[in-house]
Amino acid sequence: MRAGLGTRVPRTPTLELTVPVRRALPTYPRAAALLVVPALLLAACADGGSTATDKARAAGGASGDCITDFRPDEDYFPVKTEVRHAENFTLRYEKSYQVLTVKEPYPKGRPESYVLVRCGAPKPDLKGALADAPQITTPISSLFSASTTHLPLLTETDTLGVLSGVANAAFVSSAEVRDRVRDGKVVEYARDRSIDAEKVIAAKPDVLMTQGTDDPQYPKLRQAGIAVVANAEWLEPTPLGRAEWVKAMAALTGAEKRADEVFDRIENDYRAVAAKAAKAGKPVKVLPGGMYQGTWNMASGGSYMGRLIKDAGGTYPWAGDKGTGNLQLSFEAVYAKGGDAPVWLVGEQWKSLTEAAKADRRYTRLDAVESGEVWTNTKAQRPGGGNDFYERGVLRPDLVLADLFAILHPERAKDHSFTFYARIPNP
Amino acid sequence: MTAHTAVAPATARAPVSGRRRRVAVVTVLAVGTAVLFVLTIAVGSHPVPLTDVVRVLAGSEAVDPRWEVIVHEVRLPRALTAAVVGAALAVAGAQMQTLFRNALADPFSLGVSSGASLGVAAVVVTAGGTAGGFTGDLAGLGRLGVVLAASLGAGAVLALVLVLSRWVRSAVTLLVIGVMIGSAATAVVSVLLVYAQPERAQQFVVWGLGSFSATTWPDLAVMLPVLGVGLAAALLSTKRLNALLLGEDYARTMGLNVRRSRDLALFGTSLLAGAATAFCGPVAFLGLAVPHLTRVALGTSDHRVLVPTCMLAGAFLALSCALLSQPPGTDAVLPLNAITSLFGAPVVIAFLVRSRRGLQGVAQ
Repeated sequence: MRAGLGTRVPRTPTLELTVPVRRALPTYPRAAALLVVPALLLAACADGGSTATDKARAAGGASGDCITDFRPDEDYFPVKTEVRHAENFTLRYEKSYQVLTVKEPYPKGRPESYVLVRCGAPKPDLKGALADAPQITTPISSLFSASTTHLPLLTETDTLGVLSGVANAAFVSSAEVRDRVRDGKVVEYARDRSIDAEKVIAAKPDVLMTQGTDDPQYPKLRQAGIAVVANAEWLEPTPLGRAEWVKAMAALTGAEKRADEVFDRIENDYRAVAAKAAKAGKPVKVLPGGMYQGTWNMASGGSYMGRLIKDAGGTYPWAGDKGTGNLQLSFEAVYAKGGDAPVWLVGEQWKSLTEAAKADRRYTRLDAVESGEVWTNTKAQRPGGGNDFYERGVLRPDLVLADLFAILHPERAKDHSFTFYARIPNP
Repeated sequence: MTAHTAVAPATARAPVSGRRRRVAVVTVLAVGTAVLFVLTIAVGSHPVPLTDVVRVLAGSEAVDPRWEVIVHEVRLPRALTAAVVGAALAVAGAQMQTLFRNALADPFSLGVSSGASLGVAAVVVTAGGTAGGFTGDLAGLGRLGVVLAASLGAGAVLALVLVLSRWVRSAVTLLVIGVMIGSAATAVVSVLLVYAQPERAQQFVVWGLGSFSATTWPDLAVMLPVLGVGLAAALLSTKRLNALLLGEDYARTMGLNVRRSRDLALFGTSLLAGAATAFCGPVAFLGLAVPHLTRVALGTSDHRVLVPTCMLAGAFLALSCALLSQPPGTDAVLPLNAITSLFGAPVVIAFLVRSRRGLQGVAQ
């Protein structure tokens, strides 16, 4: 009953918000190469970047060597990325091309395949299902990105140089990307939420990556010869599944080796924290979500947030709900079943718990409010802009999980410094 | 209900059976409303023993302290809100239908809800990232900020309509003007939403779905007196409304100050609709459907009967919708407006199909 009645409130990935704080990345030293990228990118954009392999390689597409004398029998993909967690895309390797298939490009959408042809190889003559699939020469040298969640996929694989357009810079957290927008190296193509098709067609990026929803402009852009590639990472129910989309991006940018390294590390770190949490004893009860107009918006157990809470050694009354969306619940139910949770996880930017009481005075009846254990995921929120939790947090569930583990088991993570979460002051 | 004048031809036709029928309708509605009110307090997603419900209501301690919160902070405000807002919207709808002699007029015909939406949307957009969630920028006032914004928006539209009404003779023209102002406000809302942050825009959508569960006691301390004044004003102006039912010219010949009556009705309606919308969001359909249902049930348009019965019927239907939107025994919440419209749409359709009878009811 609950799952059926629960209204799914899909996150709109394009429009998430963030903070320009450029954090030190102890585990992932950022390549200094990024600093030389802008000039190269500018050159790449100038000619419309159809092949542009050299530039892309310089921009960080590590394995992006062009084929000079093509031999049909040679395997041009000696390193093959394996997709382990993501369920919404597959990567299939042929000798000189890959097939990227997105199973659900947008909610209830039909699968789409893209043939990624290594530059220098002849375009394969494909039959059957792939006959009409768009063929994209890789590594690409220019990319329009509809969602801020794509940006870390580029920065962490040192391929930010290919980025030439974002939907709306106001929602971007990454300081590097914002600088590029300011310097005119990255254009904005959907500032008022609708795609400026003329702008996109004029810029003619190699690929426009979607936000995992459909848009009436996409068929038009496809007709104009722009490869529209779906990125529906937000439909992945698991945190590692979402993060693994870095491999789909890398297949386009040619940074697969680097992406594998990045993802392996994320996976290991995530598992390490999850293992600690599993050994930490009885799961800690938490209360996720918040109320608006008397209705509580609760992540169901099968959702992204639900998995994170479980893996961090937490539990909550709706953890058993298999749905992947959000549930709309009455305060009565939430209070009766979860009001005694010692920790409350919110998405509000309250300066103090007084503001929580102003938003709805019934909040003060929650145990977590009385004890002051109210945590918000808006630590990395830029004033008036995006929240890095929804940008970098998507690729870095290891950091999110570490935060949650430290919230739920403070005695086991005394030295933890928080990335996305902060405790709301209790005056 | 003594001395029937020409204003109540339907009652004059069959005074005895008509009265019996009205007594029956009012009795059924009164009992039904009382039962639903008790049900709304007694049942919910979490089972609370009836003895404890009574104990909490009587002001003594419940066995489990959580039950006190559930009954006193969740169920009782919700039941009161549903009953009073239902009554308010029904009466406001009846007044508007009479004033404009238009079967499709409702409490929001003058753009009151669009004005309130505009106020709330303005908060959505202007709320800075520093100031917290949706309610942000009315200086961190929390829920109060939203209520204030909605009231200001509704008040601004009302003021505009009242000012314009000085120059407008015909009520129909005024109705068209109201619809125009509403459309303009809605247009601004959609522009504002394009630039709103998505989480906030989402909250605006939730606000637009209507809710009886958002009110807490501090809200009720403001809302109940305001709605009380509006309802009392409606009860006191039933004779005026009866005169207006005959048409403005005829009412004038009867010695009615039409302009003053119109202004009073406009102000009263806007107070009712504005306050209800500010606290509950735009609750759809009740204001349109209940007066028609009541007229059909009563067999009369005499406002001396219609207005109080509309209050009962409005409370009755709103409480039913409140119960259905949070089906007892489940945790889930259905959007209130989906429920009210499930009631409302068939009524309006039936009404249109049988429009002769319906139109007579409004503008005989």
